[in-house]
Amino acid sequence: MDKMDEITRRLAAQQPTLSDPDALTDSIMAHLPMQARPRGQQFMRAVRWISSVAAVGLLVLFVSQSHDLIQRPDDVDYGQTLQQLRSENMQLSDDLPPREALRKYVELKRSRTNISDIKRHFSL
Amino acid sequence: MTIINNDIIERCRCGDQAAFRTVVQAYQPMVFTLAFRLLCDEDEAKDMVQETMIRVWVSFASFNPRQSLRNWIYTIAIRLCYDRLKQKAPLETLPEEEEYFGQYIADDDTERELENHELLAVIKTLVSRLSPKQRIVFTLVHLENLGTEEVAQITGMDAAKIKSNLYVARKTIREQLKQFGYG
Repeated sequence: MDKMDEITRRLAAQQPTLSDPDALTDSIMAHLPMQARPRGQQFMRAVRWISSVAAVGLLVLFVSQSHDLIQRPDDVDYGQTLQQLRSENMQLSDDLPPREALRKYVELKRSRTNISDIKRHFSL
Repeated sequence: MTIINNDIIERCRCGDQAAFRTVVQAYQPMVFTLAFRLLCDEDEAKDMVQETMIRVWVSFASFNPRQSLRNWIYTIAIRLCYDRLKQKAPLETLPEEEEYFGQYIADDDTERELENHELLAVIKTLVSRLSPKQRIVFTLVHLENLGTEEVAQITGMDAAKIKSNLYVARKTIREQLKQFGYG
């Protein structure tokens, strides 16, 4: 047999002695950190996180978009709106109170009615 | 060695530390022997056992129960040892270690049990001129008695690379033996 093969065969049969294996086991067990989550759980966690961000984003978008739509008639500058209506040669009924006329104007605006519809509504 | 069944593996995957203790007890001698032979340092080998077992615990969730647990632990240990070998300075043998090596190869009593420091002196002198990759391949094939296929699976090297590393390793060791009068 080749000398090298003989030496490697002898060495392969020799195991080093591990002194105090229980102490090593205890030391390993005492230093165990948190276990990594399975990949499936990590994926679900990512999906949940993305869904939350998307939901918050949609909510912010909805609130910002609806802010104009839910503007109350009381917030409207009556004077300016009346002036605008008059400048557009709208004839308002004398018996229609200005506040009521404006309320209708705002309602029409809310329903995205165009200016011709508004004019038609107030024209007598 | 304690047999690690699927129930223990599944419990480890779920974070059961009592089940993991069984795995540590079963595989720490294997990792210690491997690290001892590769790093040629008893204390570093113990550190490597700890590092390997902690890595095994942390990544147990990613372990595929259909693959061999032994080979998976081997792979983790080999990667950590390889990183350590790359960082370490090349092995330098002491005159007394070389002297002991000379006595060992001349000794006819092949059954004699060696003390750890004697075993270390022999392995260290034998592999001191090998690169980290050559040392890993040589150790797995000749000292751990693994087949080429298993070595390929554990190291990630292809068969051709394993053969070429093994060829150079054996050639280097033969040259080393020539210096001790064994051509």
